[in-house]
Amino acid sequence: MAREIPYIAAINEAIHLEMARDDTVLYFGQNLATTENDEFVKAFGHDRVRVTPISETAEIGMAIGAALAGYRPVVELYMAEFMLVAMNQVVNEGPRFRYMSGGRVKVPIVLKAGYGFTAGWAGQHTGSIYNMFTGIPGLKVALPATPADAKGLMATAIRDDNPVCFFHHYLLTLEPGDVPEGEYLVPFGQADIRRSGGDVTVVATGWMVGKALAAAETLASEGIEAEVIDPRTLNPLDLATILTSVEKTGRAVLVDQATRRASASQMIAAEIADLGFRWLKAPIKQVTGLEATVPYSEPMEAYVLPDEEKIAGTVRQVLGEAPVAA
Amino acid sequence: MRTLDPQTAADLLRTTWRIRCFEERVAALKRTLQVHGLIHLSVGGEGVAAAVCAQLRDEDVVYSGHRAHGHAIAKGAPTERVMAELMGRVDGLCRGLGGSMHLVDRDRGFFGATGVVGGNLPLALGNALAARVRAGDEVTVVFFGDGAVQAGHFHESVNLAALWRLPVIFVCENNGVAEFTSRSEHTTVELVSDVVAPYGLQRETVAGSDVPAIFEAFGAFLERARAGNGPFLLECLTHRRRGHYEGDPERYRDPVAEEEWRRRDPVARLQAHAIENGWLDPGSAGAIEREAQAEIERAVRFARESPYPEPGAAEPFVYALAVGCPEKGPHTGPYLGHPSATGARPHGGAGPPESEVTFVRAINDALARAMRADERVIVIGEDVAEGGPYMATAGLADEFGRDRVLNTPISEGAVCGVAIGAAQAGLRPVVEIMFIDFITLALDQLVNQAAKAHFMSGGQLSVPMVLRTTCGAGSRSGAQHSQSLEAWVAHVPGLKVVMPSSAADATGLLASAIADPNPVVFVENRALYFRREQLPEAPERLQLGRAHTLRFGADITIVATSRLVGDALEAADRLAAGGVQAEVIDPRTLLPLDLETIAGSVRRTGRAVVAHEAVTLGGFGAELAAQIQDAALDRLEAPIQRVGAPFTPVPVSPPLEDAYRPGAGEIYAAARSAIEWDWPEGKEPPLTTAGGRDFRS
Repeated sequence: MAREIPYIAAINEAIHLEMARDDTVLYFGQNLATTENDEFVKAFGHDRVRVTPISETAEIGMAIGAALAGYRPVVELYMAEFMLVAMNQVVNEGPRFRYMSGGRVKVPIVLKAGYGFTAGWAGQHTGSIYNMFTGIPGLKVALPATPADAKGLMATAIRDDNPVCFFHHYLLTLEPGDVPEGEYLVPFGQADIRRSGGDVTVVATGWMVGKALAAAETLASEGIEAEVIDPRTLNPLDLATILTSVEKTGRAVLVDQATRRASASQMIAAEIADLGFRWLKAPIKQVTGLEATVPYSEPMEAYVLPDEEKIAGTVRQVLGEAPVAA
Repeated sequence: MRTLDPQTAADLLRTTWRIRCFEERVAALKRTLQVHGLIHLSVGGEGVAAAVCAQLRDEDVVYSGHRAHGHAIAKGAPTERVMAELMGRVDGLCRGLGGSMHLVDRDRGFFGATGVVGGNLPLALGNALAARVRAGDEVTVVFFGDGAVQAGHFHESVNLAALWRLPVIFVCENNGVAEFTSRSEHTTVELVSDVVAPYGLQRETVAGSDVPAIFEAFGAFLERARAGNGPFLLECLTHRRRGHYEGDPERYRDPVAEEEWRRRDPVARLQAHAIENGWLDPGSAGAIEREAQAEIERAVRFARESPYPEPGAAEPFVYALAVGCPEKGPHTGPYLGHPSATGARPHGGAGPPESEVTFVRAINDALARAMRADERVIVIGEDVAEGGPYMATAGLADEFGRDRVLNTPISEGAVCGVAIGAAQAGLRPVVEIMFIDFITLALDQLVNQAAKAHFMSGGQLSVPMVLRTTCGAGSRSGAQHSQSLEAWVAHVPGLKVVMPSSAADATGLLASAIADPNPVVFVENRALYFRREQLPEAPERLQLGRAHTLRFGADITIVATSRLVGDALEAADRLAAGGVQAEVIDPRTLLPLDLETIAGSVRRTGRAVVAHEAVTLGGFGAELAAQIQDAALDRLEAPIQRVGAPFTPVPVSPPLEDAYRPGAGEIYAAARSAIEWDWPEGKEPPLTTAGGRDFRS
C-alpha cells in the first residue's frame, strides 16, 4: 500500500525500518537526536543514535571503523560540501579497505548528505559535487529524485556491503509523493524511465528530473516527445537503459545541476558518444550549471542554474539543427 | 594597559547599538523574505565585535565565520552596503555574489566570512605570515565559535600559529552551543582556553557581556602582537540570543538560562556602566540608540533602492584577470625538446645555451627563478626546506632563507589555508603537497576557500597561489599514494589545472602559474621526474590554456596528458610504421582547456583517442570526449576511444600495477580500433557538400 508522504519522511522511514530490522544499523552525525523526544532515540536508544561534534573526519572515520567491526553505520553529514573536510576518509579509507585487504573485509557505510540548496545559500552550501564521488572506485553514489526512490535507495544503501554516498536534494525535502509502506527496496544501477517518448532522450537527476518532466510537457504541446530517464544511481550507472533509448531517439540532452566541466553528465555524454555513436543524429547537448560558484543574489542564482526553459530550448536545438560545430 | 575612557565607551556603545539594530532589522526582513538565504545573527555577541575591532586599524585584517555581520560592521563596513548585500543588490559589499555568509570589505581589512565552520582559521595565519614577511606590524584577528574547536583544522591552525609564533589573535565566542546542540554534547572540555593550553599560547577567558573587560584583555594582547609576538587566544563567554539560523526551531533552549542571559545583555550592561561612571547621561545614551535605528532605516532604504545585479554579471568574477603578466602567444608546432619527440633539436649551434636537466630539476630551477624575480614568492610545505623527497625544492632555503622557504607539520588543510591567506595578503605562495592523494585532506580549503574567494567577494580578494603536487602509479606505492585525481579539481570553477609532460613545459608553465592571479593546481607525474632533456638555460614562459601539438598527422588525433604524452608519441611511431599518421596533442592545462586546437584537429582527422592515467570512468577523458563530440560529431568517422585505468584502486603487486597502468600499447590498440571501425552495413550517413556527415538522414 502506498500513501503520500514527503521525501524527507521517506528517508527517515527507510532508516527507521532498517534499524528495526537489523540491530547492527547505527545512525549518527551532526544535529540529530538533539532531544530525548527524537523518534530514533526513543525507538533505538543513544547507543545506536548519537549526535556528534562538528568533526567530519572523525565521524566518517569512526563509521568506517564500526563497519569493519561488523556494524552498518549511517552518517548524517548535513551538507555535501562539508564532506570536503573529510575527503581522505571518504576516498582513501572507506572505499579502499575491501580492495586493499584482498576482499577480506567490507565497509558497509552510508554517507548521507544534502546538496543543491539554491535559495540564497550561496557559495559554500549549494554545490552539486556528486561527480567527485562518482569517479572513485569502490564508492557508490545514489541521487533520489522522488520520495519513493528516496526510501527505496536508502534501504538498499544500508543493506549494501560497500560505502554508499546518499545525496538527497534539499529543495525536494518537503516534496510529497506516493511511497510504499513497509519494506521497499530500489535496486542500484537501475534507471527509471519517467516518461516515454521517441524523439529525444533526456537524462536528468535529482531536482532536475522534475524540471525535465515539465520541459517534456511543454515540448509535447509542440509535437516533440521526449523520453525522460532518471539514472537514480550514478555509480553503478545503468547505461543500458540510456543507450536503448538513444538507439530509438538518436538524440540526447543531459541535464545536471552541477557545473559542466569534468561532471557526471560529461561522463554520461562520453559513454553515449562511444557506445551509441552509430545511432547519434546530433551531438549530445547538455544543460548544466554555468561555470561559476553559485551566487547569492536571486536573479544571478537563477541565471546560473538549469531550468525548464533551458532544457526545452536545448531539446529544440538538438532536434532542429544540423549537427555542426557549436 | 589601555582602559576604557568616556569617548571610547560612547563609541563602543554606538557600535553595539548599530549591530543590534542591524541584526534585529534583518530578522524582521527575513520573516517577510526581503532578505533571503541562510542568515545567522549575532544578537548577544555585539560587545565582542565592538571591543575587538575598535582597537584595530584598517590594515589589521579580520577573518570571521558564518555569524559575521557584527564583525564586518564593527570593522567599518558601511551598514547600507552590508544590508544591500543581504538583499542581493548590486551595491552590496560583494555585488550580491557572496551574501550573508561571505561578507568581505577589503578596504576596511575585513577579509571575510566562511560558511564552513572554522574554515577561515588557517587563512588568518597566512595573513599574519605575510605581515611578518613584509616586516609590517599588522595584526591578524580571527573570530570563531566554540563549535569550530572540535574540527581538525582548529588544532592544525593553533599548532602552526604557536610553532611559527605568528602575530595572530584567536577570538573565540564561546556561546555554549554548536549549531543546534550544547557544548556538552560536543566535548568534555568546558573552556576553549584549556583546549589550547598545551601549545603554550597566552590566553584569557572573559565574560562576553563585560565589554570593558574584553576591551582591556584584547588591548593587552594587541599591544604585544603589534610588537611581533603571538599567537594569543581570547575566549569570550557569550550567549547567542537567536537561533543558529533564522528559522531554527530552537528546541535546545533552556528558559531559565535565557532569562539569566537577558539580564546580562552586553549592550544594556555597557550602557548602564557608562551612565554609572558619569560618562554618558541617559539622554545621550538614548540618542545613540535612536541614531543607530535611524542609520539602519537609511541602510534599508539604500538597499531597497539599489537594483539587482544583471544576472550575467556573475561569470566574470570566477577568475581574477591577469595584470602585468606578459604571456607568450600560441605555441604549436613540434617542440622537439620533448624527451619522447623525434627529430632534430630546436636549438642548433647558433641557439641559446642549453643544458641537460631532469624534469624535477627544471621545477627546482623554475622555483628559484621565480623567487629571485619576485620577493613575494614563498615556498611552503612538508620538508621543503630540506628539498623534499624528490629534491624539487633543494637549495631554495639556502638561497632565500627560511622566512621564504617554510617547513610545515603534516597538516595539509592548515598548510593550504595558510597559503590562501598569504595569497590574499599579497604574497605568491607555492605550496607543496607531496601526493595528490593527500589533497583529500585540504580539499575544503582548495574548493571552498581558494577557488571561491574571488567570486564570493565580488572581485575584492584574489588568491594567487600554486599548489604543486604529484600523481601517478608505477612505484608500487599502493592505493593511497598513486592516484590521478585531477578531474576533481578540473570540476571546480575558480581553479586552474596544469599537467606538464616535459621538463620544458614544466618550467614554462610553472612560471605562468606563479604569475597567475588565480589558484593553480600544478600536477607533476613522478614517473617523469628523472627523465633528462635538453633545456634552454633561460626557458620561455608558456601561456596557460594553450595546447601543444607535438606531432602532425592527418589520420587520427591523439589527445594525451602528462606521462601519457610520451606514450602517445611512441604509439604514433608504431602507427606510422603501419601507414597511419597520428596527430599528438598535449592540452598541457586542463583548465583552461584549449578546445579550439583539439577540436580543430579532430575535425581534420575524423578520429580521436583521448588518453590519461586516471580511471576512465570519471576521469578527465570523459570531459575531452564530451567536448569533442559536441564540437565535431559531423566529422567523426568512428567513436572517440578513451584510454585510462580500469575502475579499481591502484594495486601494489608489480604485475597487477603494470597491467593497471595504461601506456603506449593501450593507445596504439585504441587508435587501431578507431581506424578500423566502420559504419554498420547500410547505416553510413551520407557526406554533406561541406565534407561532413549528414547524421539526420
